[in-house]
Amino acid sequence: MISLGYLIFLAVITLLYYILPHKFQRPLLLVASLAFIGSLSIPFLLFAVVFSAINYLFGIWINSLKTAPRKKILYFTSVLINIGALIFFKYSNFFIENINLLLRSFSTRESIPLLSVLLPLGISYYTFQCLGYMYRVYKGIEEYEKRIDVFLIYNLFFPKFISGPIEKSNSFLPQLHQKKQWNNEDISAGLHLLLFGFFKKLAIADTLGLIINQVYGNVFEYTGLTLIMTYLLQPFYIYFDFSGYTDIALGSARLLGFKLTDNFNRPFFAENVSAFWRRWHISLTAWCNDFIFMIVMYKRRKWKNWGPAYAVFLTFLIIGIWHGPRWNFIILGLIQALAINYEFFTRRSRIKLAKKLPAGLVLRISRIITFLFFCFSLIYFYAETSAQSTHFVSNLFASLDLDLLISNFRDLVIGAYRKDFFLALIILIIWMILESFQERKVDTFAWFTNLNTWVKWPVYYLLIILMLWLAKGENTFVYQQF
Amino acid sequence: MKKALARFALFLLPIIVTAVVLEVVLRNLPHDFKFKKAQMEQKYDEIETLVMGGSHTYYGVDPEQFDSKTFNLAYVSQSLFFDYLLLEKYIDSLPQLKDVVLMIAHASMTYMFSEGEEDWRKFNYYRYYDITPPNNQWYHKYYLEVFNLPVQRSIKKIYQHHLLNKNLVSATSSGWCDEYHMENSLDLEITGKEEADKHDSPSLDFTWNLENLENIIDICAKKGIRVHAINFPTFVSYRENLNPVKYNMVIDTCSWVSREFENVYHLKIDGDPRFTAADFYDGDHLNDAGAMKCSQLVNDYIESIKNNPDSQRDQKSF
Repeated sequence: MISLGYLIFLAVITLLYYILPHKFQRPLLLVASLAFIGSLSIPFLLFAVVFSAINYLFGIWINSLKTAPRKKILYFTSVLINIGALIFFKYSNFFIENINLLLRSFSTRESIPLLSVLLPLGISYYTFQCLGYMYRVYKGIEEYEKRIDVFLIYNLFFPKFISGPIEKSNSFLPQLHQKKQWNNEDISAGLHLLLFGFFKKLAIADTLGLIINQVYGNVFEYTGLTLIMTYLLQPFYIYFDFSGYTDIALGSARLLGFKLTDNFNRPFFAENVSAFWRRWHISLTAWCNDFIFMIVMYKRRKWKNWGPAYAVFLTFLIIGIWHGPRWNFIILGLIQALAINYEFFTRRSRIKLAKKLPAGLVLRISRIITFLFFCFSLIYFYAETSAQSTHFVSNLFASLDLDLLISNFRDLVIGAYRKDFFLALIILIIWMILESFQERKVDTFAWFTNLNTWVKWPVYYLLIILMLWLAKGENTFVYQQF
Repeated sequence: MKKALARFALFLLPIIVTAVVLEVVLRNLPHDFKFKKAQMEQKYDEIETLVMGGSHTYYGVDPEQFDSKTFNLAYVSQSLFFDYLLLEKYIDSLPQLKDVVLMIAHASMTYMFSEGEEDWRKFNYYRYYDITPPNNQWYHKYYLEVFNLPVQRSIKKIYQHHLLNKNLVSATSSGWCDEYHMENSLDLEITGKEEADKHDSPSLDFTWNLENLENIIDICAKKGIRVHAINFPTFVSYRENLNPVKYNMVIDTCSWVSREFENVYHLKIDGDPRFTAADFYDGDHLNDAGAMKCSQLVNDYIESIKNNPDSQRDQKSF
């Protein structure tokens, strides 16, 4: 999506979308989505189409059945197919590797060969969409989708195909049945989102990524201040990369008259871990809240306080596993669950303590602790092996030598990019200051959009110049791999 | 809708105008590819030895040190695939060509088109040699300079040329790049490890590049041209950080082609004790002094082959 090709594609589709008669709008979206995925990979396209068609048929089938037990069997079959496909493509080699490890520990020479499977692009996102849809149709909360073209667009809609957002069927499918007309407000919002998305990705994320990727690529070579610098920068890298992608997805959809779920709501201003996860990757956490947490909590309602604790544990374990076949992702999920449960069980005592201190101070300290905790958990996100994460954690304060940091920095960021790094850092600080205004309900964006064109346009040009100046030619997103 | 589109077009206008101006200015900048192509075209009827390959030969072989009329057609990160395409394009225009020197480095046998940060270089072949690389994006088809390099690098090139009067062409008229001066040499230990890490891809699949190598051998054989597969010198800090299995596989492949094909000779001067730290610019490139030494050595070797074609076809200099 970070290419001129994508922008031209989007511009052509948007123009055609509004020029063509209404009856051609949906077919155009479907063709555009198929072309977009097909340009990335034909086998992935075929898989996604077949996968979506199967879910569409299951929706019809479940709805047509009269008796609850048969519906239940069919619903669980659809769940099995969806989760089975995800496990097969995403986790089969992880299981095999661990079985082989177990076999080796018993000194067995036999080992199971790894499967040669490619992870279909976007599978984690559209599988969750299908699972949510099936549940709602099965429970009768939502009417099944009658039109296959609409259902295919729901799953394959090109702006959100690569990395979400994971759209709930009850919010997206009705939008597909509406007649879309050119709307200046939508177009303006869409263009702003596109500009901000590209800016976040190209000007900030890619420059910060130089350090983060280099450190995690050779983590054993670094200690002390270099790791502390990485520790503090890594949340911004992932935030600007993923929220940049999300803005591009939301902006592209908005140009076509669709409102997608925003994945971020100023997460670094969250005052605790629970609040953080209501602001971070919102479409995933909202999905997990609806289809895992609430269901588990309801089923374990007799467990009193342990019910929610168990539900949190299970939800975050699944969020961890969702990220991919790595033990570190499981640890990432579990430490979130531990933190949220800690907050849950110590809430009263913490409130008591907070009352003794000034509210502003409590808020700031809480935000800092939450941020530092997230920094810590990201070690398990970036480090591919437990040896890497253990090295990172155990060497954070190993040698606090400023000269070593300066020397490492010279190695990490080549001469040509050093000024870029500091420029990106300044932009990042300005961006966070603007977010802090938004957090205090000062709508800086609305204020800005109401300004005269002669003020706004130079700002847009400045953003474009900065973005092009800092661009490193990187065109993939971190969350694309999931 | 029309009003909004007109407004948006007006907004885009300065961007498009700037891009067009940038494109025109960039196209008129001196360029190594443009310069070397022009130089080579002037010497079509004279060239007897053609040096090909990537940075090891681009910085490491000075044609002026050769007894025969030699031209260096190497470019940084030039893969065997582009060696083949260039040779295929020019072989009929070079009536005197008798010897082709090929660089076979550690990464040569597993190098693919899209090698991350070096990916952009392939468009130079399209732009200046009219060779369309595979995986060419449709919007690159009519190749624009503004899309090739990051904007920052393009602006810096313009700034260096027009305001600092810096010469952007780093090659001599015989195609050698003499920019790596001895006095500017880098830390060999650090750069050796860095470069080894960069070049040591885990792939051991030589199939595709072996096919390219065989294609080169084949077109040369048809014209009675000798092919010299040479492993050029690298510093010990580079070699020691490479995968030894792959390293030996590359050498063995060169030995194998020299046995298998009548017009192929293999020379390994990587690790030759005559090259000391003073000869290197960084971990895997010679400096100007090292290049002189290397060029003379390769020349002596080619001359010895010419005098005695049946001499040892697979030579390891240490």
